[in-house]
Amino acid sequence: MRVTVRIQEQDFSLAREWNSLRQRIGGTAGGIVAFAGLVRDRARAGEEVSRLFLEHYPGMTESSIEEIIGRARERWPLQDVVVVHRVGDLEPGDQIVLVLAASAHRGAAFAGCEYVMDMLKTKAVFWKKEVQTGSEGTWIRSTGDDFERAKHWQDDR
Amino acid sequence: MKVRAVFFASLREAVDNDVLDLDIDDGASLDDLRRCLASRLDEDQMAAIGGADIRVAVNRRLVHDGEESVLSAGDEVAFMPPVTGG
Repeated sequence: MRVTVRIQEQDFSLAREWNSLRQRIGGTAGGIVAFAGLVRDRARAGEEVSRLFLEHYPGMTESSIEEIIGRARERWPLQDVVVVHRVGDLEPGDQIVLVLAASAHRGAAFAGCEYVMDMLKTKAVFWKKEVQTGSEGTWIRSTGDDFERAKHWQDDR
Repeated sequence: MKVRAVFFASLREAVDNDVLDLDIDDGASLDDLRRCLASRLDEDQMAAIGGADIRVAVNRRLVHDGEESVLSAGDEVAFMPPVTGG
């Protein structure tokens, strides 16, 4: 299996990542599932968000994502997985994360992509600060829903 | 020996530093490092980095609860609040 993990400040292009994955897999995979996460303009509690700041720990963040992908691979026959995660200052509507999962059959690709995304929410080494206009901002945590989604993969086994 | 403590997110703000370079005795443990930090940080800052949900990593590997950790020269000890990505 091929794994690509990139942390970057600049935006990413779904088309570019998709096309290079397609070139790598040739005719061996039956499908690719893609998920792109965007910055929402509202916090969970409903306050307006003017900016999101993401921080990471170079080296450790990448290995935390590789570990998540490794676990996914133990469960589903994935051929190629790509995770691109942005850091730094982002605004509502910006792309924040991209997950691509390719497999011979769609079931594994759907499940693998969803699993990686759910685990990114609770296990990947990032910190996020929501900033409202005129405020210093709040460091946010994984929500109960995030933990539920992560937990259902354990119950599911 | 020289070791480095690094702080992220809310802890970086609480400590008002992302990096503190420390000089501690050879063979010092994580607890010794905390004692050394206590001489540099105030009570609130120590409470922040000692919180129950704060995780510690040595050279980018998580230290598990109750795990003894003896440090070596050049080690990087990270204090990390709860993570969230995606």
